[in-house]
Amino acid sequence: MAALTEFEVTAVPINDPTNEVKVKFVQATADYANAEKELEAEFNDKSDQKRVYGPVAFAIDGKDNTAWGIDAGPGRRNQSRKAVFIPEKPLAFTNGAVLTFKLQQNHGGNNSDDNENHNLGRFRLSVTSATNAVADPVPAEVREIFQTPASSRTPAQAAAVFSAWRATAPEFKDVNDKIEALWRQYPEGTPSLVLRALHDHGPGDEKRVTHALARGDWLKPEKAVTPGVPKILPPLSPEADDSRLTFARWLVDPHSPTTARVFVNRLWQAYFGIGLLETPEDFGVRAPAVSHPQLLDWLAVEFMRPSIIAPGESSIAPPWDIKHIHRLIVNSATYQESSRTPPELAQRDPNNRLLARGPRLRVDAEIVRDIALDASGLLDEQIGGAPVTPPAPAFLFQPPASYGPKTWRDETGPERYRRAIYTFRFRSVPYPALQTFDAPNGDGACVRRLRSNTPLQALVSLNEPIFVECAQALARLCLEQGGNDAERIRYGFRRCLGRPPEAREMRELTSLLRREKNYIRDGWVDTAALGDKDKALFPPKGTTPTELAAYTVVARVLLNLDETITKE
Amino acid sequence: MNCQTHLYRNESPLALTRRWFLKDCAVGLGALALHTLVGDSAAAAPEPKDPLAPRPPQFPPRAKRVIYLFMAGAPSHLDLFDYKPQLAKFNGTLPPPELLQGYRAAFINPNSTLLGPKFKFAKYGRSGAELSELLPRLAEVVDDIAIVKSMYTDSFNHAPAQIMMHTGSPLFGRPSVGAWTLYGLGAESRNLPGFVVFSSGSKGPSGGASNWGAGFLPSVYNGVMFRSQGDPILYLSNPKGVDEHIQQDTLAAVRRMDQMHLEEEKDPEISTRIASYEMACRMQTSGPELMDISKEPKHILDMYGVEPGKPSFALNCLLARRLAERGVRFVELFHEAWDQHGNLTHDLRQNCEHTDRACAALVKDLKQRGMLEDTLVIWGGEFGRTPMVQGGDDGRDHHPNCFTMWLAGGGIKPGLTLGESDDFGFNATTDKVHVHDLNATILRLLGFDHTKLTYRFQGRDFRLTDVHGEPVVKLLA
Repeated sequence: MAALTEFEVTAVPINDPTNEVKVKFVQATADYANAEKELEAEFNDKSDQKRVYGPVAFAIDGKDNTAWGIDAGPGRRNQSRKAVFIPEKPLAFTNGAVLTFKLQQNHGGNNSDDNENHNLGRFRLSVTSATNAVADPVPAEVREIFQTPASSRTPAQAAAVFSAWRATAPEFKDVNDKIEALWRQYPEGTPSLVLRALHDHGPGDEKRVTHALARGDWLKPEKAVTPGVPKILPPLSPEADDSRLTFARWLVDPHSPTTARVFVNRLWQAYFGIGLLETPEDFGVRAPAVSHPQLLDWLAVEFMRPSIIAPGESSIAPPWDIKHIHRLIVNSATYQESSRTPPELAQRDPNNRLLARGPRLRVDAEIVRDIALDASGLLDEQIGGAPVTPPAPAFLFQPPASYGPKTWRDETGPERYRRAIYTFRFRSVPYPALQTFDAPNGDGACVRRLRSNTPLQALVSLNEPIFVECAQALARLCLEQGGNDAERIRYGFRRCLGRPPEAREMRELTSLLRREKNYIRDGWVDTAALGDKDKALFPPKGTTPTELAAYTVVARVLLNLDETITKE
Repeated sequence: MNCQTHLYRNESPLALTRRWFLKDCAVGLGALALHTLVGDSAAAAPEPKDPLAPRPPQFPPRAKRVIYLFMAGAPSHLDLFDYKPQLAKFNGTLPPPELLQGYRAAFINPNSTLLGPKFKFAKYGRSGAELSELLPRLAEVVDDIAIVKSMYTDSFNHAPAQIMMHTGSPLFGRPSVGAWTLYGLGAESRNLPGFVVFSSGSKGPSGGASNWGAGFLPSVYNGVMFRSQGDPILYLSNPKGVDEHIQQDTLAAVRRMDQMHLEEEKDPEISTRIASYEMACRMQTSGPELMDISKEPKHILDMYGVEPGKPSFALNCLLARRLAERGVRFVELFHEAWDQHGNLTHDLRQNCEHTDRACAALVKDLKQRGMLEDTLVIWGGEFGRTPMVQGGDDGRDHHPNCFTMWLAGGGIKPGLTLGESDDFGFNATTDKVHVHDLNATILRLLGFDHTKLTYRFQGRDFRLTDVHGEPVVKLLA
């Protein structure tokens, strides 16, 4: 990604050094320019100026807010591009001149030392005496291939030449249109790095030698090391190579049940809060004892070689079928036990390691938010795709809270309500609403979280914008449900707690609703703000802004109950 | 019991007991809320496991809390603390080649000419500690602080070196010293988080949140970033349209509903949740109360150099004192401004104008309130700066071999200048203090043997000081 704001040349005649001439350009051509568009948010320079990039003529228009842009979209960026600039009249100096080229690149963000500079990656300058020069429409890479005689080109080179020609051939219009349409579907890249396996198959494919480093210091390499597996575990087969495929096969070898044991233990932990081995990250000799060793082994074997048909299955599940284990666990008598905690049990086994009762635990951070989104009907159920940026306090992404300014645009479409796992996470700026509920920062892998119970969590679920919007949306759902107040409250209660309310709970909520209706009706409250400022003026048919506001209070109570964010 | 009597000198003991019990005593209040709400039926239930519950250290501590003034960007020891006449004398000449053997610099060719100190130095106080003219206010408290001129570290770029200072490793993923402190001691104040972070200066610290992160410790030990303007704590204010009446009615309904469920389920976690909501409600009062400096007398504001309503390092220093008074265990102020590759003369002067008065005021203010005894104040950056010039004649590059920090209070020997560096301030030479030694000392003052404050992670017992570090006994009072 790059944008050229202005292309400027000055000439200083060698025999007349004080007479600097600014060259005026009158024509510019390029082999590529993106259609005119405004700069993306990451290039915001905090000026209020509208800044655009597009046709190459923008590079010689003398304007600081326009630039030549070469953004060909995902999958087609980062290619060599050419532009030719023609001066008003040829530059001629009897004794020669010193030309100074200035490539103005002002279309970056305000934090030029970060990843928002929008500068050319590399460039080359040439001058020509040709008249009517234009930018060569043939891509530079293809032009280079022309140097090789057609008969000795590699298939890849031949294909590159053909593609370049095909794109310009009218008889291929249909195909070209289809290809173009496919390119437009090409997804944006992800910032993750992918490692390519190297096999020692010649130049560019040399295996890197890996060293043990003295106390982890990369400047102090010690002996070279080669791939292998720990001696206490089953060995690799003697004829296996040292590729990652070998490692993958070894990981799931039935003779090596560690993988299966570790995996089913994590599934168990997800349901019961504590694994059968409470240190899912450590199955080593220093780990604590497994609470139910036979169960762990049985589950691991059942994972690798299913032998029974679980409820919901029509036949024996295939090996390594994760859902099979999920089904076994949730259908087990153990999982279906009541989570009630009689004091004597709480005393004897506070952490429920012996599983005399069902699990009762506050759900993980992401699920806390998902419950609110789902109960209020706001949840966007789309699966997969790019991460999203739900509302977060803007100051966190700007100095002095953040080292450099970061781009974070609060989503305004349905993405605002995606499941919390899709939330974009900056390592240096953890998403606060999730971090407060014990989501780790991403500094390292974390397979076991503590469940804290802090006042900051209460502040999040009471006041954080998404939770507030959930309360407002849930209120609206209750009103849309129709019926009398009791029916509406019962409906909202079920959405949050998954059970009907008891009589005394109904009394509490009904009386809260009545109190709030009276209070709000007295005119003390900004009903529009309380019930969602955009829509509150239009409450569901047959209801009033006062009702919507009062139900918002009730919904906020429901979403803040311990039971709502607790699995029991 | 830690009653913090010094906070309430002029109040009747009767009022004090009540106020302390209700407002500042976490155990008392938590327990009170719990017992009244839980009722007799569940009183026999075990105490809820609370990762933030206050707990005693391994041996009697000298410091009960820490205020860390982190000068991110790395201040020049050569222009502030470590006066080198030889450096002035050899200004403009190349350093001795043997000094540079094996030396790597971040940006400059190490074989660059020496740059003499840019400012005048003089000796101050009874201790006769030498300080630059840029630190006139620190000079006033120089007998209350200990200056360590022989610090050294392993990293010479900002982010890794900052993370090294805070976590004992240049790679992110380890817990910060604040997180270790909270893990070891719990939090005293439940109206406010136990580990609070402020940031001022031109930008945030380059090490980012890892500097106050919990690493592999549970997330609850993360530092919580406060804002010095508006709501200090995120999501502290009620949503629009929710007034005090509605808020109280809402919280009361939540409490009664949770109470009903507690009677059925008997899970003590529900009573903890009820108590958390009570505390959140109190935070909504204590947060604004913390930020309300209108009752601070003018001479105090002037002493710090606080301009009400304007965010500044000075304001953060004052807020740090107010947090310390409220029992917050660990307060860290980041001021990223000290990376003087160029413009050193101007920028260093400006930085000191922004910070010198407030740092000294903090020490004075804690002392006059009797809090310096058990509050450890630490000042310093992630490394030092080269005796060699960078650029024209007004900049210095990063330098890990030698730098200066100062500490005060909390069991630190006042009026001490510890350690020396060579003639050019290039290498620390006597009484060398590595980052691990500093961290071991901090833990020692808080009542911990740094080798025994551990957390098992991935099969290994980790500690703040990795496998290194010795407490610096000479620093202890």
